[in-house]
Amino acid sequence: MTLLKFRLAYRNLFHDRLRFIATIVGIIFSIVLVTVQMGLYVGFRRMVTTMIDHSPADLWIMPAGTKCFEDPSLLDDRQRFRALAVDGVAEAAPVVIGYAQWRLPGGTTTPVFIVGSELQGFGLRPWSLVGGRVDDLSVPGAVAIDQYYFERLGVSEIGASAEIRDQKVQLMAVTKGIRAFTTTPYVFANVDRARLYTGMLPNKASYFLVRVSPGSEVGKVGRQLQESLPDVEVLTAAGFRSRSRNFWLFGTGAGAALFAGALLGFIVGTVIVAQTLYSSTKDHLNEFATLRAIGSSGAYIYMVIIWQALLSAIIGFCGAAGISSMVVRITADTALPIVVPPAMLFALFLLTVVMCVASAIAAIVQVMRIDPATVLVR
Amino acid sequence: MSEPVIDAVDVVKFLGRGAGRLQALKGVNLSLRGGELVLLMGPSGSGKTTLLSILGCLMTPTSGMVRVRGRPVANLDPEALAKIRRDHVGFIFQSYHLFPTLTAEDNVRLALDVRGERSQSKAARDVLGMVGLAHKTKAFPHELSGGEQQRVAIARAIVGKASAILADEPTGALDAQNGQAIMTLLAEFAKDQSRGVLVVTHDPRILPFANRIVHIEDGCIVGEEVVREAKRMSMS
Ligand SMILES: Nc1ncnc2c1ncn2[C@@H]1O[C@H](COP(=O)(O)OP(=O)(O)OP(=O)(O)O)[C@@H](O)[C@H]1O
Ligand SMILES: [Mg+2]
Repeated sequence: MTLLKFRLAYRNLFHDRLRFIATIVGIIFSIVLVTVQMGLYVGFRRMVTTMIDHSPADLWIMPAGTKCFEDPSLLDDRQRFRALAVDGVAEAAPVVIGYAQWRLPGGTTTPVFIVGSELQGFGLRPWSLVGGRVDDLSVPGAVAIDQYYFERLGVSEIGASAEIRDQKVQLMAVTKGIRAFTTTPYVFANVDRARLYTGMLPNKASYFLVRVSPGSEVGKVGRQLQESLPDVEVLTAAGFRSRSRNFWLFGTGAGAALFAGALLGFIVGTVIVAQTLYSSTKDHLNEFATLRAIGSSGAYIYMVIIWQALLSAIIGFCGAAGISSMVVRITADTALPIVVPPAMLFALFLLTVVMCVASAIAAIVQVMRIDPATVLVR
Repeated sequence: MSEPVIDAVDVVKFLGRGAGRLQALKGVNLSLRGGELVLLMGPSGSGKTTLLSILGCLMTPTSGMVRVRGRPVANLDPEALAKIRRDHVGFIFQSYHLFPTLTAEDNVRLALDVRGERSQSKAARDVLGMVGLAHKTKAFPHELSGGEQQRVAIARAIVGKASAILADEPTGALDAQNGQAIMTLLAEFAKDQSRGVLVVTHDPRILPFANRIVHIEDGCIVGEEVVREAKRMSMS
């Protein structure tokens, strides 16, 4: 025995095919739009902290006011020694970053972003290697890039060479999936070489990655570091992560734009569903009045309408999920992949349901006003 | 005589607003008892539908009182009125008001479903059998003739064991033969002492089915004839 309310709801829904299709298309577009915006947000959010996420540092020492990992900055070796003198600091490894020009044998140049670090021990080294080894980078001039940038950098295999700042570089390791949202390719190198490529003096660095000795409390060591190095800033990895996110997502307005897009999608979807549910209810008003006349409670009628909304939500969501998964697959290998984690998928489903049920309000208000006595005069 | 299932006492009803406001009922007293078929007759605009709506708790009177199974219906909100309708009243409309997207059986089940009743399919089929539509339970309204649709509507009205069946010109859209069949059914169902049937009509062909005929004119009851007196006497 099927639920009669449900049967009435889906018959009402499917009765007018064209309107039904319009509703579903509306929901799909709206939810896909929300998914893309939120997926971009998640993808962006992950991407802007990728270097911080893959560094082993407990604490980051950086010049005061550094906004994000890519923010060019300069520290001095003396600060490193002062840091090492602080209780609980096990290591303080230099990291060098900076923009440089990648020159191909043919003479064409491309801007790249150098990431230099110690290759032995503690440091920020390339990960997800698909070719070569980290150790191979200790050869003078050895660099690692992501295979995604092969074409852009005009190299395609281990051993290929190019030039940075008149220094010969040779591709010795290849990573997969390390992409920069700034679209400037990352080039990993040994820290000393990185100084050459970025024109930095040998006693300088961009960051010092701090490892706290076992048993020491990160927060406490951080505070002590900050005290003995008042002219720099000491952030925990989490602190640097949230600062980078805030800068890229909100400082630049990119995050706000993505959220605004998602909100817009939600509003448009709600309006479309509300409009079609309202007009469907209007068409079936006589039936709802009859239901009321034969004694149905208000709740019974609302349930019919809400079932219509939920059915639309479920069907629309399935369509949207299908399209979104295609979008996710297509963008997976682009500079800004759309990332939809399972929790987000679930949240989007709830959002669709909320959207559709909220849309039912207009229809329900309309039905509440029905005077059942009208069925006798029609 | 059996208890009145619904009675109206001094019912006055104003309809409309402003200049269009008029007194559709001007102090009407009427009771419908179990086991009787009452015809309500009168010229167009005399207030028949208005009276039926008030008796069926679709509207409330401006003044006066309606009692359903002896209990006064007053100052009730729309939800409470709906509950009284689903518990006590079955409606039959001139234009059937079936649900076009539901089968005959589901249309009948709906009356039970709104009451939250279980095992509806069998009950619905049984009642459809009683109105002679056992073979059409899966048909949609558009696949049924007018007479058949009205029989589905009757099945829907009686399936919930309503104590009052109120019909507003149930044969108005039917030809003579179908009208006859519908009235025969209603007269049959009215024999049940727990149920009273009130039929609004213009149709003089219906007269032979009535136990009582009430005449209304311009919002007032102007006469009442009791037919088959002998039968009613024997029942009291
Ligand atoms: N909503 C309304 N507002 C104002 N006047 C109304 C309204 N509904 C009905 N009336 C008027 O009330 C009076 C009684 O109407 P009612 O529908 O009860 O008549 P009726 O006897 O059923 O007529 P008919 O035989 O034509 O169906 C009529 O004069 C009608 O015009
Ligand atoms: Mg009328």
